[in-house]
Amino acid sequence: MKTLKYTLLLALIALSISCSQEDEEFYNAVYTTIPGLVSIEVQSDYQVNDVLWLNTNDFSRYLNEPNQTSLLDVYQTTNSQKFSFLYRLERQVNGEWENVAVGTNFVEDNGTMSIGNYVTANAIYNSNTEMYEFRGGLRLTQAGQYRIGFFSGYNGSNFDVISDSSNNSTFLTIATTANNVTNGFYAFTVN
Amino acid sequence: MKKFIFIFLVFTQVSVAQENNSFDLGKNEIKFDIVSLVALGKIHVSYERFLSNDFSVGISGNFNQSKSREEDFELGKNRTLEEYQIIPFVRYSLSKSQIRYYFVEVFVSANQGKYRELERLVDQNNNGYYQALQKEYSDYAVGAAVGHKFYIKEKLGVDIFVGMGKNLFSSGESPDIISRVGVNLGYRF
Repeated sequence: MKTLKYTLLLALIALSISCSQEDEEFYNAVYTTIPGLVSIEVQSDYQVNDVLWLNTNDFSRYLNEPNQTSLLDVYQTTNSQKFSFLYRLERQVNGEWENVAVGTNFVEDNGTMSIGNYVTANAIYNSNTEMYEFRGGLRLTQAGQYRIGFFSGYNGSNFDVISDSSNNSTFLTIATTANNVTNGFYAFTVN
Repeated sequence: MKKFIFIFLVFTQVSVAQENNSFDLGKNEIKFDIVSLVALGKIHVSYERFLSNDFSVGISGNFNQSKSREEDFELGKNRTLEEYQIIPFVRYSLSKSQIRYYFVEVFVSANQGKYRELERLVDQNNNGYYQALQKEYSDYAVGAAVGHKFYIKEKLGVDIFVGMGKNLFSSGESPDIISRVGVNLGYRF
């Protein structure tokens, strides 16, 4: 009876293994690197209550993909109405970089933003312009040393812009860059 | 008390003798796997031919009938969808008893199904796009299993087995590993 129990247990374990094998793994995803999809609207100087704007003015539906002779149609690939990327605002306090709680100090000009511990920027597809459009800003409420930080992308550098693909459409992750960003940060001073 | 001990000893002797007796259970067995049907939505039928007290050979057929697995595949949740497996096998009994024993099994599996593969295509405007295309695979696996078998009333066999095999010619199309799991209810004749 004991051995029968062990055999049944083994059978259950094997059943569970057989239900979660390679064929269950996620396969429908493409990763590529296309620089320059995000722009920081750099000013020569910043004053308190200025807004630091970011945009995706160069994020067309059709993008140059490395090592390909044809443009990549990201909308046809993903059927995604939006692409998202993350960033955060930090302020230097006593020599340490601290996350700034953005709260309601943000402005949506185009696309949408959601604010938590970091900012999620959503570039929304415009079928007329065939662009993924975003322009959003953070209001700088205090003087000091600041920096915008991006999270490392799938390739270990850059940062990711990720599609919001529906059910059986391909998920697309694009490692991209922004202007004036060094080692993942754009640093500036608010006077 | 003495009577009780006597009866107990006689009974246990009979039981042991029965375990060790050589029975004429018949050479053939047909089997159906209820657990695979209920848990995995597969029809799994088998035939086993007993060559001696130790060895048997057989063949199993595994046919996917699961609507939910087909839907998951169509929705792109699973990469592969096994359609069928044909599994010839050889079993060796590890016990002397014919009515309750452990066995080891080696098998080969001819398996076929569908899979999805991402490809970069180019449309009529010469723009590229990625799409998961549905294709067919067929492969051959070798593997092994262990199991336990017992008979009820010398005709109704129950065998429980677990094992797995490796597809030999997979280069990303078919699943690398196939499982061989079942609880067969059989009739021996």
